[in-house]
Amino acid sequence: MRRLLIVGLLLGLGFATTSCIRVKPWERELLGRRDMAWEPDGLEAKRDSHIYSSKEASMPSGGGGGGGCGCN
Amino acid sequence: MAVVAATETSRKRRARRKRSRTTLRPSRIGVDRVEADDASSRFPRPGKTLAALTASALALTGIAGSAGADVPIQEAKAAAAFSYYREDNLSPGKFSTSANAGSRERFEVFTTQFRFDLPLTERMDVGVDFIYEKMSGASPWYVLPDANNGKPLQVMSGATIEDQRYELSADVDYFIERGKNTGSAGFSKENDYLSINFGVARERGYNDRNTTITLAAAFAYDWLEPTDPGFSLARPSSGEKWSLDLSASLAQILSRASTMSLSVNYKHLDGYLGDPYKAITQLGVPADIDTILPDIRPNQKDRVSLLARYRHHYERIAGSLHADYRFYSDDWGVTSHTVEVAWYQNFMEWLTITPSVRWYSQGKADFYDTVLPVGKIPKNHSSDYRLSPYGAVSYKIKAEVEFVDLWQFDAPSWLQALGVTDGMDLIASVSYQRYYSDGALSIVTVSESDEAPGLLRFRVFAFSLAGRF
Repeated sequence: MRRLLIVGLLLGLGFATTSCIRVKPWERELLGRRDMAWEPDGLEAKRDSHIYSSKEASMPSGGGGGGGCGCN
Repeated sequence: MAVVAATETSRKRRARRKRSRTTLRPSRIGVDRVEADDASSRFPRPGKTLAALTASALALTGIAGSAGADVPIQEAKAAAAFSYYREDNLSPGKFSTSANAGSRERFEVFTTQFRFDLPLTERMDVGVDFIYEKMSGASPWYVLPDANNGKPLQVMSGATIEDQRYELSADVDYFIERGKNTGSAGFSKENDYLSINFGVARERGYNDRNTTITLAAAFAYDWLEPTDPGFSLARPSSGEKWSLDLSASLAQILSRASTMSLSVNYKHLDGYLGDPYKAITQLGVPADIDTILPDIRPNQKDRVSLLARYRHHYERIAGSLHADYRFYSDDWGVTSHTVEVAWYQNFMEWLTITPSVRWYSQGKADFYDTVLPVGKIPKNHSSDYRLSPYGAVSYKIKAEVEFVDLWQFDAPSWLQALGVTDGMDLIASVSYQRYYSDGALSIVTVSESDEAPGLLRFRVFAFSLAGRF
């Protein structure tokens, strides 16, 4: 738990320092690429998430709830 | 006259679209386009040239996915995906032949998915998802020790399970000055299972949109009515549960080409959380349909997970790196680690090849056992391989092509009202995925008596087609 706290603090500190970095809106061309999205392919992400959440103990299910049992 | 007017409008649209595309030229591929004029009006800017640049930059929606644009989508999108999921047959060395009807042939699932995204008003867009799945095969039932060496062997159900699942869900985004609010609802129906869910999310940009904070909550209610409840004493006749899911995430742009996010998620589940099709046996008690014990789990669960994601684009080699790590812990005693890395390699602006790997490792639940020891039967017990300690490795390879302006046409007015303009971009992809789980792939040592004989191996073939109009 303590280790986790330290990691959390370090990451928080990382974010705090990076907030000084300002990338202007017109410099965000690369960030706007589809292959830079958190989930570039929504259907694929949804399918994978359903498989993992029904076959492993700890994966989140799609939108945070429901999605059927799929428990076989 | 009406026809002429329509054609003129259409021409104007096309011209305007071309203009906005020219501005976006450097990365036309893989970028969601938004009409430049709409976006620029939302951002203060010093001069005309800068205005155009700002506009084009803002037009690049999907800045790291959910940390998105300031305006709704401007073009309609339609996507379909077809996939085949197939589990490997249970290996003969892990299979118990003591149940007559048992089959080594495990599950296969055919899945069809559709998604439609439509612009609604100047501030709103809507997405609709539909899924249909057809599954069949045999499923792990309970575990018996081998009569000779005591090694756990899996008893399977017959290969007669058949089911279908329908899922329908929709989400609506409402855009405000510095972000958006999202509402979603959906349901999923199987022969023996019904689930409904609702969710809300609030996304806000800070620090010139370099930082985005998203808060989300979701609620789900599930009903379960197992087929064949009289099949064994171990099978309950019905069950229900609800869950509440809360999450917060912070996304931060790190440079022109890199971004990362941190999310924390808490979920509470309440109700029947067992698996009605699983059972467990006790050492020294001869197992038959009347002596096997039902799968019994606590009827509450609290789970917490942390997710860190990083994206970096390497302009020189036209490749993007995705790296994700998730830590998970719940009050059933399960903790897990997941690492996922993907590389998106772009060729000739229309082809992307994406290899990815995923490693997963979980510890066992407190009440997991392959077979219960002699003595007092504990309150909760399960032999489900999902609650066992193991690790898993999977890899995937995906190829995607994107053709911009593949097809030009004059859309009738009712289609234009849905956001369909006058051209279509086509995106098509194929992928193959392989997944292996095994005690040896776990971060911790898994003893032979703990290793579930029903651990899974599967492969997934998928094909998808999407159009932007």
